[in-house]
Amino acid sequence: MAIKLFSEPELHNPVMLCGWTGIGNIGITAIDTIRKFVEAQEFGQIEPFDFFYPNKVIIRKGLLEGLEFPGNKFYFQDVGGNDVIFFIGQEQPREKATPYAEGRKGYEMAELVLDVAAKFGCRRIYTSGAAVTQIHHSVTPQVWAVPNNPALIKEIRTYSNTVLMSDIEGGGGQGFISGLNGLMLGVAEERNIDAVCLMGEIPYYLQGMQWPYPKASMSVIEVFAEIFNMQIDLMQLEQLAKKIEKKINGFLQTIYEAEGVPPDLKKHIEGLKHTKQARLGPITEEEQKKIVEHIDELFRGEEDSGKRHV
Amino acid sequence: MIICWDEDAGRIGPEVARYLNEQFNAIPVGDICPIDFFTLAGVAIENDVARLSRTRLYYAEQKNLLILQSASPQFQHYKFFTAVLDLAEHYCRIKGLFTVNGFVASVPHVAERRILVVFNNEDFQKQFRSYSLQNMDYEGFPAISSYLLWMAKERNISAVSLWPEIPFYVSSNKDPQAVKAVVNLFNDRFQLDFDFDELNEQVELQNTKIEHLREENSEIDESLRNLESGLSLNEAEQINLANAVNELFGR
Repeated sequence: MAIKLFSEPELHNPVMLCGWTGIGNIGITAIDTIRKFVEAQEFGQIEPFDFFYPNKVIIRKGLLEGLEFPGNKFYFQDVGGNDVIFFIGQEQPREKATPYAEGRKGYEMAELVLDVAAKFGCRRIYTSGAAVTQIHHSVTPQVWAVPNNPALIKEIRTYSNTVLMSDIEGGGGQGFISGLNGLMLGVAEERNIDAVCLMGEIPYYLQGMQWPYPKASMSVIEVFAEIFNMQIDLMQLEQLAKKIEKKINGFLQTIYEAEGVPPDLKKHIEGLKHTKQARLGPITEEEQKKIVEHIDELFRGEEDSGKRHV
Repeated sequence: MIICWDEDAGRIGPEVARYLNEQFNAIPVGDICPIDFFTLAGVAIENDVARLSRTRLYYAEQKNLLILQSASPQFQHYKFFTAVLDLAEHYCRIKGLFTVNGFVASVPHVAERRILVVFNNEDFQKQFRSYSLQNMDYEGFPAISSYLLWMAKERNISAVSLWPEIPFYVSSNKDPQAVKAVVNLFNDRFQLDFDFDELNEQVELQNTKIEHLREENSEIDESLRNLESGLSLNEAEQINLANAVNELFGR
């Protein structure tokens, strides 16, 4: 299957920003927000057929009108004097029942994106995703940065509100980045292309949510704004973040009042408001498992009974 | 070419394939290899018999009919449908493609089964104007037949997916009434001269068994009367009815 380029813009030492769906859609929201703000122009796509099942069919009056696939599109624009290619992937190709790309399909997708990066002489790739950690949803998330080249560490240390894995308590400089956000770094390194993954922190108790987490996306955008020396209007994201925060507060209240949930949970979660530094991991795996199970139950919904209609 | 999927409501696909293959002495003429398309981590057991996921093409020479009976592919759908369409277009030179699917509905088993349809082009749709078919309106996650129709359209192969209504409470079992509706359509369209005796017996048997159930169980009787009057059932009533019918037909 092919890369389809509708045009071949003349770009000089561009960087590439890659956004995929994931926890809280932190990465894709960050990169797509920038893309829309700078009015980047579409110039190509990766054909979806080898990677994805279609996600929508439109049938009208017995006629098949259309079939839609998750988008995998390339855009370009001059951002603060830098040529930037944006890649937005609306889904990660999967071979098993997980939300992340893995195995052959993930690798092939990474290779195709890097083929385009190489074609246009990209000097650096950025990916973005979520850093699940012990923070409270009311605090401003930090951004965790992971490069694929130690030479980039010095530059990363100049970014505001950004930490390396070794800065994180209990991290020891180690970790794992799931899916294409991580895979891209590894495959780019094989092809001698520098890459950095910027991950916005998200509270561990929200990792299973179907909601976006714009607060973390905003933190990531602020880092990019610094890198590209640009101003970006975050008003819409701020409004969305406020709405989501309200929902989270309501959701947590339900958890706190539910049966079977550890009594210290409220104390622990609310105590995170005062935690200064990000820490890895949940309270205990058992307690996290109970929280996630309860969240699943809440989202199964109530039965509809007693209604009759023609 | 008529494509019948193995896993569907009312076992509509396998039953339509069986009736057509048996009546017209269709012979298997080829398989699509399952590697790449189906999980090969083991083998499923169906009705006490082990069976690997399979895609088999049958040919009924006396009626010039091709029947493709297949499990729904689990992986590499695009590649699978490309293989099917290559077979249809280049080797079999078909005039049209029909897929058979079940549409679970809140209808009583004694009702005439409507067939909802989706065509991939208007010209083909016009050819079926005189048949009592119901044009579908839908927007949402695509069934595999929709994906196949779209790919056929890209290759200028006319195709239609047929969705006969299957009462929800018989959807786990065979539904001969729905099978009959589909076979009847093919009978008219292709002048098959199909012998409906066996199918009619099966329909009669299903109706009689459910009638006995109604006599023995007043709750079931009331549920069915509501459905027959055009009223819907609440979830508990639906589950109750489905369980009772499943037990009746031994599944």
